[in-house]
Amino acid sequence: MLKENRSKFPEKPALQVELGNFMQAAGNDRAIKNKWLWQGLNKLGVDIVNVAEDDIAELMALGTNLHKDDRLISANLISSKTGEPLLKPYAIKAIPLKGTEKRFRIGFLGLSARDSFLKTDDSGYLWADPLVTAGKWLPGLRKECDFVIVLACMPSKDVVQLAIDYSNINVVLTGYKHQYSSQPATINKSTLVYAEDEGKILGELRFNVIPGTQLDVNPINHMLTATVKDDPEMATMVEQARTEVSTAQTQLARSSGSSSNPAKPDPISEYVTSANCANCHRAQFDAWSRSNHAHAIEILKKERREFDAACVGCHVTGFQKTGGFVDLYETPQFANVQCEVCHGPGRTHSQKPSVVKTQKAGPQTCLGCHTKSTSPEFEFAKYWERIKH
Amino acid sequence: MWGGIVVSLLWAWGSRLDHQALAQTPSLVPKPADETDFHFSIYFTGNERANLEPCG
Repeated sequence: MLKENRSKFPEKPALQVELGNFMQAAGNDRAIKNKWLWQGLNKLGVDIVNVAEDDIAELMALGTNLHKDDRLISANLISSKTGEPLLKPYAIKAIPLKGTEKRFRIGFLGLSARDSFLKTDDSGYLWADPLVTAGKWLPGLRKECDFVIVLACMPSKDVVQLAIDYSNINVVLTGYKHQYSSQPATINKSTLVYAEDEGKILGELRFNVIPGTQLDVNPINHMLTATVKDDPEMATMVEQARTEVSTAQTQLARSSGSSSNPAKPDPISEYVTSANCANCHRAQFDAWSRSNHAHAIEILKKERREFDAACVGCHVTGFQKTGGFVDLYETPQFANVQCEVCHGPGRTHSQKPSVVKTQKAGPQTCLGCHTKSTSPEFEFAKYWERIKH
Repeated sequence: MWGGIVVSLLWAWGSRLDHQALAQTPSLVPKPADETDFHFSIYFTGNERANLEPCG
């Protein structure tokens, strides 16, 4: 999409910006995933990166030279020793305007969530309050620049507060933790523009600047659906990444065993599997057996994601629950979306069926996995027909 | 020479004022993606990129 757009408008300058929390901060497969992610971002040619709470430790682990890489910014990531910013708090880009000698100076200030306030003295950094920090840098940036953009990897309520507190921001580009995006909104003197999660949309701000007369900003969402062709070079890289990540995940699952896993099964699990439910609920079991729920792990195997913690939770039974699915080596009996995903663990019900009832399942039960992101076409009535029992 | 410097400074200051005056009031103008009437772009992504591809 980027290449396509750049070739469509070869004479128009373009900047690429990452808003933050692009890395995976948990899970034993994060090192390998983040290595590829960073390589991918570099290949895309990112110009400015707002380093947020999930990113800093991972960038350090990758051996990134934080001080030499001048694309990395954050105003509220500070040294625990000096209290000064660990990275550059902001970056300024001067864009040449066709037909004029003038350059349009854009300032980018980087801010990250204040919720965590991670105090990580051992690593030499901590996070300062982004709303207070903004006040330290915005007046100077405003003087130096024609246009000020804050890259805010923060919850919506903080972003709104930022716009209320400061009148010297033109645009806040924001996105945070799978938070739903919405249409651009103007608050006080700032326009808030939202990024979609997991890179499903490429956001673009198009500037039309005629000094002295006009400044228009046109926000565009480029939906990165299956109809957008992959760039062959990137596709090769992604394939290489997927193979390496999948191999590493399989090895990690083989080698870690149950000893290091918090979801180590109890000697007697609360989960009994659908095979046990079938003893009394044969018709329901048969209906389930014919549904995609009964084969949910297969699609992950096909995609080589069956050991990917980011995926398996919605393809197995009791993931990260006591006595539930750990991995395909340790708990293969809990693969697939079995009865107990929707109806709850069935041990006590199976022992005293007339006394202990299973939990009621309804449309809300589905929404944990059938989200806007993972299952955009989900409608309960339509999908219920596929699993009716 | 001094006159030249002063003129340059004034020109530079004037251009900054131009920019800053209009930069305070950007207008959001939604246009189609194939509209060519623009000068430059900022592309952005964010928010949980680690999942490189859909699960399946």
